[in-house]
Amino acid sequence: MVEHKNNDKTFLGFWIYLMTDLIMFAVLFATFAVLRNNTFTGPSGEEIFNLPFVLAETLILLTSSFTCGLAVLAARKGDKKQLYSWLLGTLFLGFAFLFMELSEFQELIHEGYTWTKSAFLSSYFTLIGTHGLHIAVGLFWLIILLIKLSTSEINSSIIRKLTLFSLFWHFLDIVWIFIFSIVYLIA
Amino acid sequence: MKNTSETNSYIIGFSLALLLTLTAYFTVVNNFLDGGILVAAIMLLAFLQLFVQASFFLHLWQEKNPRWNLLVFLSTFSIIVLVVIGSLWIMNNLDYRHDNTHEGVQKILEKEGFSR
Repeated sequence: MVEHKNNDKTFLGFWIYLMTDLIMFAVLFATFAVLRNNTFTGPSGEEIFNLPFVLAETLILLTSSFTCGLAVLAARKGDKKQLYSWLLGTLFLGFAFLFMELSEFQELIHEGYTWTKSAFLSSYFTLIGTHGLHIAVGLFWLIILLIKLSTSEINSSIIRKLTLFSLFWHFLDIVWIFIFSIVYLIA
Repeated sequence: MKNTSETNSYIIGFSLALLLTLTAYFTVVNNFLDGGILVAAIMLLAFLQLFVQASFFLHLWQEKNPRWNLLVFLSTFSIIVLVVIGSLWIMNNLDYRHDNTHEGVQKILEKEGFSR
């Protein structure tokens, strides 16, 4: 019972962190929305975005959010084999997403559209880059969880850590939905 | 039993999110709408998706009392609304008033009722 109460506090604390993170993203969104038309002889969003590619990124991240949720359910059931497969699935999809995000950046930079080109591109790279950084940290966290899992049984501590990770991962997916809508689709 | 219903909740959430994403995407790609209506529709779909994911993935509404998580979320949300809408409003207004071309100045004078 006491442990349960402590868990609640842990979740609330982590939740408050996520909400402050959300405010940071909101500010970056506001910056982007203000600067989106300030292309300063550089390209506009419509000219450089590849929508089918971004749709694929979105679907990959959405699926990884789903597998991550299923991983937590498998952990609660105590099914280690299932837990491993869902977590590895999440890891794989997460890396695929990060790889696509980076290759998109590389392509833009290769064409000369860097963050110094215009205010629009600065805000674009900052927003997407911050999200990508979060994804990278999340993947690092997931790898640590997997290492920990390989040395111990499924216990309440592991379940707690997994649940926190899944909160983080769902949060990033929700932020990405807004990036997909505001940055890519509206352009 | 509880576990199956939770799995179902994830499957429903995932399907709904998928549906909303694809709807938004094809609305844009096929040019079903344009201008302000399109932007409004995309934002509506994004917020619907936020609602779906918060309900089915984060289970935000199923929390027991007192609902601290929901409370923190709602206060954060109101801060975000103020910051985002406020920024856009102020910066657009500034942009509008900084049109230094001859036509721009004439347009502002006329619009604001100062025309000679």
